[in-house]
Amino acid sequence: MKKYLLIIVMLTFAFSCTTLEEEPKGLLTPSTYYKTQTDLDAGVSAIYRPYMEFFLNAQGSIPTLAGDDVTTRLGSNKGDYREFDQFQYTAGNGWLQEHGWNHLFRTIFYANAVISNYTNAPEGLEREQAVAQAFFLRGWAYFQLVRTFGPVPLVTTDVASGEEPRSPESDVYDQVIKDLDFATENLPDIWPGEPGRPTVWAAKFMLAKVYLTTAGWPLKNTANYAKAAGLAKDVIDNSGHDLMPVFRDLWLVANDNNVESVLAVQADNGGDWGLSNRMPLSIGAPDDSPGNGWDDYFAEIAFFNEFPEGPRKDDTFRTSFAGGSLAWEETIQGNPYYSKLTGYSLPQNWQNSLNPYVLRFADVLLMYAEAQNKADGNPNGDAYDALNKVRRRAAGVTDNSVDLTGLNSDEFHKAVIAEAGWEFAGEWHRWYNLVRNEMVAEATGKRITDDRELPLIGASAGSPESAFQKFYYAPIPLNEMLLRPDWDQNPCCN
Amino acid sequence: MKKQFTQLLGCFTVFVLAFSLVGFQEVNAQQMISGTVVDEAGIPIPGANVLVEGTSTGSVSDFDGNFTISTSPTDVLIISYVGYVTQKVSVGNQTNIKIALAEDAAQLDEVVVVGYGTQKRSDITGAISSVSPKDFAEQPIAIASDALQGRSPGVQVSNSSGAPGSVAVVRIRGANSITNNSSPLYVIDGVLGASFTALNPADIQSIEILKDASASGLYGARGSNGVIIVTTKRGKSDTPVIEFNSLLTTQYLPNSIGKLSAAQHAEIVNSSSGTTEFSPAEIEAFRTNGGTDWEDEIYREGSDALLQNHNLSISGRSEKIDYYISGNKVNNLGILENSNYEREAVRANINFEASDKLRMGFYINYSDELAKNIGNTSSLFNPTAAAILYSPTVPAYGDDGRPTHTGRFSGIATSPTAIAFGRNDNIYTDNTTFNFNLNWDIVENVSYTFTGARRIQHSSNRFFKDDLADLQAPQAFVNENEFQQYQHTHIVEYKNTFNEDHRLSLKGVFEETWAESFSSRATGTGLTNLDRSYFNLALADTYTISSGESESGIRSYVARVEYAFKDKYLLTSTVRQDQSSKFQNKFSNATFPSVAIGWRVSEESFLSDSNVINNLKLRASWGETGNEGVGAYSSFPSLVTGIGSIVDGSTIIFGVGPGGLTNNDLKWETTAQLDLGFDIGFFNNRFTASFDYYKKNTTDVLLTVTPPTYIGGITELLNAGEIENKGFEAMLEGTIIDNEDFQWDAAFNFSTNKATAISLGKDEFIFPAGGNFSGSNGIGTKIEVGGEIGNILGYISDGVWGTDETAEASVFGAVPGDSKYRDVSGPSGVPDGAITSDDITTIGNGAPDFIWGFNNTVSYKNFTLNLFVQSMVGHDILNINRALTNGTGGDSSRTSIDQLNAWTTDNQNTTIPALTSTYQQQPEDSRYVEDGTFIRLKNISLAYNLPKSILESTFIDSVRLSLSGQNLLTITDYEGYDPEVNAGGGSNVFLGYDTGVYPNPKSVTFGLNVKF
Repeated sequence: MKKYLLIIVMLTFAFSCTTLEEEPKGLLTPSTYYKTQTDLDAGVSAIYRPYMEFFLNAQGSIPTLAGDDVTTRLGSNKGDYREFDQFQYTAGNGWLQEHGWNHLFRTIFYANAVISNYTNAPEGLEREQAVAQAFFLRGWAYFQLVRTFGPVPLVTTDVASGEEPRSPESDVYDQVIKDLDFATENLPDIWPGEPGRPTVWAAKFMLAKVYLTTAGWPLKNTANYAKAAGLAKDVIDNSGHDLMPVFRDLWLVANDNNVESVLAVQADNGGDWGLSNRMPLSIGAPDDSPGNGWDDYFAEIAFFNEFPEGPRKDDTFRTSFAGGSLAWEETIQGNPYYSKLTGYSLPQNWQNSLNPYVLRFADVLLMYAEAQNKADGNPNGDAYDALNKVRRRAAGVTDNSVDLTGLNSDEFHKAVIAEAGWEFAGEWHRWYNLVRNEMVAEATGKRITDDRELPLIGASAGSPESAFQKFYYAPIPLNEMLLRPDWDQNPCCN
Repeated sequence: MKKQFTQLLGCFTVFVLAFSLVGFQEVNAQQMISGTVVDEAGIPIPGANVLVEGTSTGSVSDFDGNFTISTSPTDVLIISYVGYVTQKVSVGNQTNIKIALAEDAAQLDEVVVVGYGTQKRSDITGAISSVSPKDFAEQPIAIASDALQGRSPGVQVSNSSGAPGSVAVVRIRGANSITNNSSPLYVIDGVLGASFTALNPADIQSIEILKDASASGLYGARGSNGVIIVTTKRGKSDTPVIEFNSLLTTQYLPNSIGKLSAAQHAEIVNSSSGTTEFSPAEIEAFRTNGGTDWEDEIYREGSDALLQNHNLSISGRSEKIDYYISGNKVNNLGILENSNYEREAVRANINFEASDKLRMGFYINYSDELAKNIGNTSSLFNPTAAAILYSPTVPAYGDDGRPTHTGRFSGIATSPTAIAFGRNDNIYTDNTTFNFNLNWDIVENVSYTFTGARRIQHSSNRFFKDDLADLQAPQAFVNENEFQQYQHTHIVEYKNTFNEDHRLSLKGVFEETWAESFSSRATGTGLTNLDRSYFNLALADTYTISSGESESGIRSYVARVEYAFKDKYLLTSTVRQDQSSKFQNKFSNATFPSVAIGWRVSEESFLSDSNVINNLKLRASWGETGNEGVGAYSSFPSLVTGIGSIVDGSTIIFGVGPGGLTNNDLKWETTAQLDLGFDIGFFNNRFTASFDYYKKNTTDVLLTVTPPTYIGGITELLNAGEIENKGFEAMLEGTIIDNEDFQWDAAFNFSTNKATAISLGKDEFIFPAGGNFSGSNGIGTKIEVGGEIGNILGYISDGVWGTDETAEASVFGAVPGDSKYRDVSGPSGVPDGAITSDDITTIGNGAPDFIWGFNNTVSYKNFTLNLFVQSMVGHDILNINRALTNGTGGDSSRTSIDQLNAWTTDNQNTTIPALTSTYQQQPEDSRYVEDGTFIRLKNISLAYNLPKSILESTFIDSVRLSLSGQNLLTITDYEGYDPEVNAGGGSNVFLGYDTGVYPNPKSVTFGLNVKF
């Protein structure tokens, strides 16, 4: 018997595995990644994902609903839009969190992974160009955040504690400028076949925009007007980009990545829902046909009425619906809709591949006009040329019949801001232009106050600018505040 | 490692074969003997245990008290039955033994499976509940977890979804963890981590539930959630028994939710939007023609929702072999259109005696399951929620005959019909378990038991959704998963009695388990040919593919001592050491001790002569157990792959980005549990009761912490914090009436459990990940130090501001008709005159105060009546559907009947805000928190056994007919479909959320049971 016992004892021990160590066969680990150019490129590709998602869904517009170019409807599920339109912001705005906050911080998260580790890859031009994209996208994301929320936590490496304070605007802008400086120094002139990547011109364009913004509210660092003008002029003169001759041609899918597009998000309506442009359906009218949209946002009537007539107006708005049987006043909402952003037809299958513009050449013209005038105290000839170039196309003329001349500095400034409002109506620009120029009261004052428009709640159409100041910044999202009760909420919502 | 293992297993098999050949020559010849167990009056005792002393070879007497067992002449048989004195009989040369058991008030010598062996009931010092098939015999059961519901105290079984084939959430004495799986460990015939869904309930011989640390401590790092030990049937009868059992169940939607008619809804929409969305003519047309009844569109009832459960088994035993072979077929059509569950299962349990000292068993179990469209119930985008949210003004089908896919005024875009018919989410699972066991009496008092098992599970999720099922492009995927699990267990046991008074058992166990899985997935999006579904993924615009693997192992050593002095004073102590591959550091080894003592007061002289109390045992135990239920490689930092983006206008390129935060210091959760209890029996155990108090403290609780989103929207797994569960359990059983023709058995159980967070590491509070039940900005739950688990967070509403409160309302920026939210707090911790996130507070708790079950079986002659009541008391439910259908939240509609009672200047005494109110409203609002208390008639059945006299002349042994109803009556104030469901599913912390979960159906069952 003993021998069997012995066998069992031996067997028991023989069964014992020598080690219980794990050997993951399929996992990529950070310590062994970002070592080659291929790794780095894949790391950069990831950053584009949340950046694209930000632009491809109408909900990215939510903070800009406070502007006078857009409004939304009562009822339905538009509460998150309505809060901004009616100046009744709440921290519980879920779409603001998802689209206005999470996508941007995820862009930063992915960018930081590349930025913190890229030096492990072999040195060379390709490496610098790869990481320059990461810097560009991080700069863009922080710029978008700081002008929407004001002070935000600054995370610039791949390690975050979760205990970062909200850094003041000036610190955030300094970081944005640093990032974009790196991008301007290292991005190439062109990405052949890959128009979705930022070029050096996109970086300069973005940097000009940042300088222009820092020259206004809240930093009012007016010395930056000159920097903005210089960069804008460089883009105008040297980038090779130009206006498209016909405004309508900007919004046709066939013209994606045209000469006016300095940077555009590359939408595709193929397989990946998150990478298709879902805006067209969102901003359509429910009583339109063919196709019926969801009313996410449409034009304010006063803004539409003031919008100068011409091909640009015709091709910005949809004013007749259901095969011409309904005028805009007769729709359920009784507002004009934005046709340009839909590519002029509502998609039947929820989405299309129209590339949303991130940086459009017309913008750099108007930015130059604004910055030069502010920097030098008077508009020069180039500024007039830039402004009038946009006006001529808008009116569909090539002569000087719609040109502005002989304005004083203030008049010129107002003309530029108004022009930018019309040129970029519904493109999520208007609100930020109003805030940095502290013109919210002026714009909102024109709002129709009868039941054709939603009533304003937190402020009224006749309120002074001081009444709107608490609405300059969107609220820090609720779930973030719950985790960081030590943060102060923005004035809108504390 | 796996290769090495396979080699060794091979070696072992050779060894076993060689050994068994040797064994035949060396040991005494075994022989089958038969016997009869009767009581002192000569009446047969069915179900008596017959055990060969010093072995685990046993038999059970049949209906006529007969048993057969394999013995050798030197063996001693131990014959035991509840309430009778255990007898020992030397076999000698007898081949037919008649044993008359004397009733004994003081004895309770049923043998109980306790894990790695058995113990006499009277020796047990831990808290162990048993469920036997006779407890649920009168209830039609297709899924084994249902057999546990309401049967034993401390075991909470919730059907959080009523979908066909869905497994109930089982919690033994509460959940110890926050993020970790808190399901008990299932051990089927000695195989750890077996599949409980794949188990055919008809195969169950016994279920033991190990609740306290001294019982579950045997399973160390996997024991902290409690252990459910299932033993499957063995052949018992000398003549083969063929049993056929068939159940036909028709199912019904439990109730209908009050919704507006189409005309009413159209009017409400007009009033709330301030525009004429519906013209008077349209409204009139709705009034005349009605609208869409979405419940009718997506639910089916009666024989259209048929559940069939057929079972056939053959069992028996001959001299050295016993066998049990069964086949099972379940087909459950479910009450929701296009959902169903099917199972086919076969089992063969074959045991044989190689010699009088060597026994072996081969158990093979195969099952094949299909679950169709039973998932996706926790979000709003499921047919059940959609049917509540969707506007009745929208037709179910468009002019093209296809489901509606964009509805106005419905909150969500995709209609119930579009979701219900546009998705085919099929999960095919097949499961094979091979189990070989061997039991060898090495020398006198020393035995060796081996269990070797391998389980192979292959599952294939084949998914298709068409262009209407949601807003996205049509998509199909196939996800294949191959899972294998190995186990070998060696048990050496020494048992002896010294000086009559000292009984000692020593046990050593060595065990290794190993699991590996490999998965692959291919997805086609933008399907170009919808008819081809997932059968041709190449017909798509884009593809994504992925694969992955994991392996993990645990090696364990167990030592156990069981000691009894004079059968009065009992001691059990266990130490288990586990080593897990999942923890990459110094914590990979852990030791789990436990100790228990018992005092059988009824054996003391002052009670031993009592005519009333025949049994009284006091028990106390303490011990530690663990929960290692994290995924393999959890402690490795890893990157996320397949992040798609486009830079050229059309080609998706896949990027790599950082994943979640990782933690090298992950370790087990450890639960220390104290249990105090006593068992008492009256009048020869005609009435018995057990009471237990327990307190469990789980430390190093694994938390999936959501840091602020700004660090990337990621989560982190940490060991932090401590959770305490304490509760009280009572079980009362008795035979209330006991006549020859009339018998009434009743069993009542009651339990409480309260879970509290004692510590949360460095945090004062945490927000567990998940919980967006009401939409993307759902508030979820908050766990605070010192607070209870299961809190529902939200705003407290104190009704609606009235016209006489205009001034007060304006402080909060509200006007009459707006919600009156309570100003609970502000940035500085005091009310600040504004409704902000600071005012979010606890508005309910989803954990019940107590649960109870009451089972009654009344037999009269050939009739058996069963009434089984099950209840949960004191839990709150956030009725998210009601909130959303009252216009709150991002995905809201106004389809609730409550809308008719909205505030107006003439109707100010209401809790529903004015239709035009735009004042901030979250679905997490105290007005939508309802009391979930329910008392449910889980089963009522009447069965009739055909008289033997009719069957005498046939080959049929018995015929039993039954008619039963399940969930026919539920007493509750809850306004949703079902107060038992929870959108949080098996979550430990998200309790009491209803977002339109698949309701548990009402059903009526006809049953037929024939034995040959």
